[in-house]
Amino acid sequence: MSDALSSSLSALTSYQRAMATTSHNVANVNTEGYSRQQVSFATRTPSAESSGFIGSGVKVTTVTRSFDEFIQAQVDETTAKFYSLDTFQDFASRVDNVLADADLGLTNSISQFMASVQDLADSPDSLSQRQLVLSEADALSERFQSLTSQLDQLSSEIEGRMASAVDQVNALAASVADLNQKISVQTAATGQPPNDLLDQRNVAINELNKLMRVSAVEQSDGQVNLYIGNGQTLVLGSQPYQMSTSKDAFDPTRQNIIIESSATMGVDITNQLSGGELGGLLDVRRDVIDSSRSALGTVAVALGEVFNSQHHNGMDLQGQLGGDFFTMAGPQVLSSANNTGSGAVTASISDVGALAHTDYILTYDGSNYQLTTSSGTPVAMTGSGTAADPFVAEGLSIEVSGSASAGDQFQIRPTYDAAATFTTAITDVHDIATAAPIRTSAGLSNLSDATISAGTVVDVTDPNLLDTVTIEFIDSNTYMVNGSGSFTYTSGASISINGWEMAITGVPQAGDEFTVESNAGGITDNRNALLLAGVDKNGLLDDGGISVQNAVDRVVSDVATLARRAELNRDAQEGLLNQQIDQQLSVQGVNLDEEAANLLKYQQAYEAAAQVMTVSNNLFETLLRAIS
Amino acid sequence: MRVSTLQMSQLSLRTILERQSDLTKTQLQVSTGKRIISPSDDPVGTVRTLDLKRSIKENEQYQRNIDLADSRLQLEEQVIADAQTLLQRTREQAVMGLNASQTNETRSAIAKDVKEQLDALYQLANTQDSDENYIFAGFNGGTRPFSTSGGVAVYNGDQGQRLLQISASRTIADGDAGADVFMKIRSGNGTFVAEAGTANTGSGVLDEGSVIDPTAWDGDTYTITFTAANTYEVTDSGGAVVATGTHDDGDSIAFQGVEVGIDGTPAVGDTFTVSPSRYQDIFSSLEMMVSALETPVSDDESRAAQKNLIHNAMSGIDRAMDNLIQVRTEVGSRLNALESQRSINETSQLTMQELLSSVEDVDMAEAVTRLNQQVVGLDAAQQTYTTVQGLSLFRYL
Repeated sequence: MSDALSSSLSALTSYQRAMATTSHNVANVNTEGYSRQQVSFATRTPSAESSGFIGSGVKVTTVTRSFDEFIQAQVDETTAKFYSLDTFQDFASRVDNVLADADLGLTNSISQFMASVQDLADSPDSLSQRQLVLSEADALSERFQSLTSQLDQLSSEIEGRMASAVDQVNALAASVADLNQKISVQTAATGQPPNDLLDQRNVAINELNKLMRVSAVEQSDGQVNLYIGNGQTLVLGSQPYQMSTSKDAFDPTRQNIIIESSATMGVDITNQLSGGELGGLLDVRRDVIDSSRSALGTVAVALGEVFNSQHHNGMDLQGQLGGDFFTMAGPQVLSSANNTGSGAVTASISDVGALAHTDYILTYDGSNYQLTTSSGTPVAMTGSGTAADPFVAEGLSIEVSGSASAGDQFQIRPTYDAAATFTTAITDVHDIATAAPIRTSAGLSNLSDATISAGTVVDVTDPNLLDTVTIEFIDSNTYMVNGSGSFTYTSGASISINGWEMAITGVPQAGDEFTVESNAGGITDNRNALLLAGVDKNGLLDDGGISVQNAVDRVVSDVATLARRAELNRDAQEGLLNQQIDQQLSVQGVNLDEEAANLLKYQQAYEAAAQVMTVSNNLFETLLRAIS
Repeated sequence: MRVSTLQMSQLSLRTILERQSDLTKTQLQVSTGKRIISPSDDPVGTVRTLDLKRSIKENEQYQRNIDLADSRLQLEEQVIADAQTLLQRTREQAVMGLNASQTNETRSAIAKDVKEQLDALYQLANTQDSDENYIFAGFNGGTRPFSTSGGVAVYNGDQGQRLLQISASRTIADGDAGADVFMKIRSGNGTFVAEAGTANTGSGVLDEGSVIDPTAWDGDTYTITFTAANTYEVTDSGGAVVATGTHDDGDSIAFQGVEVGIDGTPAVGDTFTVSPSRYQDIFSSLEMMVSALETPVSDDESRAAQKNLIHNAMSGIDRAMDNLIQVRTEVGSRLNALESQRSINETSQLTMQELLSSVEDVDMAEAVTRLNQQVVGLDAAQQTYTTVQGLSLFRYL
């Protein structure tokens, strides 16, 4: 009877534990990362008697959690990928919306400006039309600046989010280390798995993967070590390593990510990080923000350059040759904060068409300067770096001065600052050069009907460009220039003097005169305005294959394509992640119906065991009555 | 497969959220009418849209330029037509002045009238457009192009011609320089000019002359000298005799591929020169006519001199009219070109707008159908959620 009693008692305590576990499951039905727990029952050691082994009841051997570490590893990896793409796509689509907006984007501003120039070509002497051109030019400058400043805002938001992500990584790494400590202590003490702590650690590791990709390696004592990128340790047992941010050596507005290590100096892991929000932020900073800013700058440089050079070839209302219409900053040169020498570097753009849409690092190795792209590809330079003979490479002209120390580095970003500093140089409406600098005429006393072409300027820097030149024919085949010399005439052949070029066609008679002179006073001449109105269609960039219009399209389509690809990848990863979380939930998750059934099952067993106790009690009392 | 409670609710919720997001997008498409809400929806389409919008704007610009060129050319055409009428009238007066019934007094009255015409012609040549630019000043639009200095017309403009852009690849002149319209007019018959010597004493009156054999005409200056009554010789600029002959009243004298008719009887020693045509502006021709008509005549000699001058002036007017016709024809053909370019631009505008619409605009029928399907889908997802969430064994405990 005592056997029955003690068996029943074991059943009662066991089922109490089982019901406690069931209620724990029910209570945590909505807890994130909770793995449902299961009680394992086993028979107690039977007592050996001559009649055989008499069972002595039930015991709870262990409480285990339903968990699949392979699914968990997959979920962690996919989580890192998804959050990286999600962050990337978020920023890319914001940049995309800014740059490609039909009203706010660059396309509209440029075409408005070009349209105003075209209107000016219709009425070149109209002061109100000239004012309109300047207003549109200012609007365009503002657009360049505001687009850059919007990119800068996104950039500072990225830096802010990086800093806060690093803080979160540190907190999570500390909590994983702490959990490691507790898990190893409790496992050693009880020999049983501390299920809830294990769940918490899995949640923390998954949270870490939302911030950046970490790989987890479980140790024999139940602790988990976490590694970043190429094996940099984030958590070693109960020891977390602190991550921090530091200013970029070249650009102090940029942060790099550093992790402390056994070495005294922290290790820069900026380029090793991938996945998660941090990975996404780093990708978007490099591939979208910086490259869009440089691409915008390229458009600014191209438009400024092509418009200015055409404007130089014209003449304004006061009879002066055109000056710069737009101004913009040249290449940005940043010296590394680690430089020890006194070397200084300046750079300018010598050939817009040869620009290669990349940033560069110039390194002094102690005897020579070497240029590489920011991704490390060496770039050949010609020249010696002096003012008279600068280094020239990929459209850049680089001048070095002072004495650099070996290892000193300079970052060169050719068009990074151009859009931000793009401004209209002209303030006086009279200074817009709409006319051509020269005009040609055939003498009104000429005997022949030979004609002279309107003429074009081939070298605006020629000091004698605006001098009056008279071509007088000695006979039908020979002419003098300004009353001297004797030149052979061919009908239609170009005649080039003083930086201009024109052609006379027909059969001139002796004494016929043709004049080329300054076009001062030619206020209704629109020849240069017509050319200005078409410059955005001229091939210029990439060795003349790409016009300003093409370049604008390229900025828009590059970002839109990146955003599109990010969106597609993000959606694909989201689908995969959901699928894996489903798998995980189907193993780990609590099913209330199942728990209800278990509850009924345990309740019935408990009641039966209690009934056995009653019966054995009755038996005991029957025995007592028989004795007394 | 085992399903957990959390999984069921998450799955339903996710479905609802996804359908809501799809629905929102469709709703945006339907309400804006645009297929591309965000550039990343269709990067290629976005760039195409931007390009098309830019081309459409440019095209509108070309249409504006065409309107402007059209109004400027219309004005020029009007001025030229007025000048033609004026010259026609002057020519008729010249013919009238030649009439033998005219007296010195009536001729002087005609001269006054011609002088009026001359002033009117100056005004026409100095016409300003609505922007107060002189339309015949070339690039010097702010400078009054025609003025007189000592009775001689002076051209202050230049020979520039402004072009306007009327399509991406085509420009058209919106006017002509005054030099080409009023100044560069050939004197005489266009090839050579025959003039009577100022010291002539006979009654010889020249006609305009004509070219018989263009290959034989060498452009030298020739002098016809009457060496005896009815006998002439023709010498070139070097003094070499190239032709000799006899002349009766009304005969033509031919040499070097040209011939000139001389009416009347030149006196011995009278000379007539035949020289290559020069530019003679229209104002000089009228000026010449005025002075010829104003000069009183009393005998055959002065009458012949007057007739010769009037003939010369009339030749000038005829050449000027030829030139005006030519300029006007050119203006007319430019106006036609503008008209045809306008309709080409309109067609391409329409094509581009259709293209833009096909790239940018949503197919309404399809979008509305999709919207309805998505509403039904969302409704179903929501109902499923509530139904599934209501199921629990605990309700029966």
